[in-house]
Amino acid sequence: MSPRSVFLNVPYDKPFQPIFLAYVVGVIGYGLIPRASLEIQGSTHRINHIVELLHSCEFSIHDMSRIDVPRFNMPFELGLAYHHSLSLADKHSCFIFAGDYKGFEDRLSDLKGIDIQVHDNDIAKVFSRLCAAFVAQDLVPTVIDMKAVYELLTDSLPGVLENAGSDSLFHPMVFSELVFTARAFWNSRPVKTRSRQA
Amino acid sequence: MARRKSQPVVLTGRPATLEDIQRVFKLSNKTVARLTALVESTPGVRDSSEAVIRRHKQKALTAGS
Repeated sequence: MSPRSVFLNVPYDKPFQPIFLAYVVGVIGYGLIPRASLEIQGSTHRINHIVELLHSCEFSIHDMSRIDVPRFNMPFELGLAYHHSLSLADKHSCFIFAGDYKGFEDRLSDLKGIDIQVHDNDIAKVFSRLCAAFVAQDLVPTVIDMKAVYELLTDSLPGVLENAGSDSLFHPMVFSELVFTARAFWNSRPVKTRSRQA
Repeated sequence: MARRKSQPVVLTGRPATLEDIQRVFKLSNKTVARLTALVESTPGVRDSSEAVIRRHKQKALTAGS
């Protein structure tokens, strides 16, 4: 059986980088592979490739922290994922996160009644909300472990950025290398497994 | 679909390995060797969980003082 992937639908802007890194660390802690549209570069019909990538993932995380500014990609991709989850019943799950709840109900009122994981733009709260979202996962990484891996990944960041000649995490080479590096750091920290009753 | 509070997600597949990630992102062996060296040279990577917890507690105390 292949490992499962999580499509990350987040704003690609510099102030958001620490939160993006937190999603990468947390998702990998659950044994999942984060994927993102930034992997798709210089392609015509970009949206088709995004849909293809989204459909290859069992989960998607949609961070709606920037819906107060005119950036429509994130709500659009959330719509695509939501429709995908409805079509496939239990084969795709989407989770909605946001920096704050203010104005959320007005701007995305169709989502009334759906759980929104609010993280207040705080790394520790992102980890905590990921724990809430993936509550029934077999692996049970703790927030302390997530913080530890986050610190290690932050320490190794200059080496990864330098090699890609980039100062941004939203670069395909940086992203793929971060995912690998984060997994390697997680491998150095044994994660508890939830015991299940037969 | 998006989850309500009463709908936990049950995951049963195996966790991703480094080999899976290398395959998914088409990383070369050279890149993998470089990243492995980077990981091994990062201070604190060999710390035990207890050492990490101690460090976080110490940080929390320092922040609170």
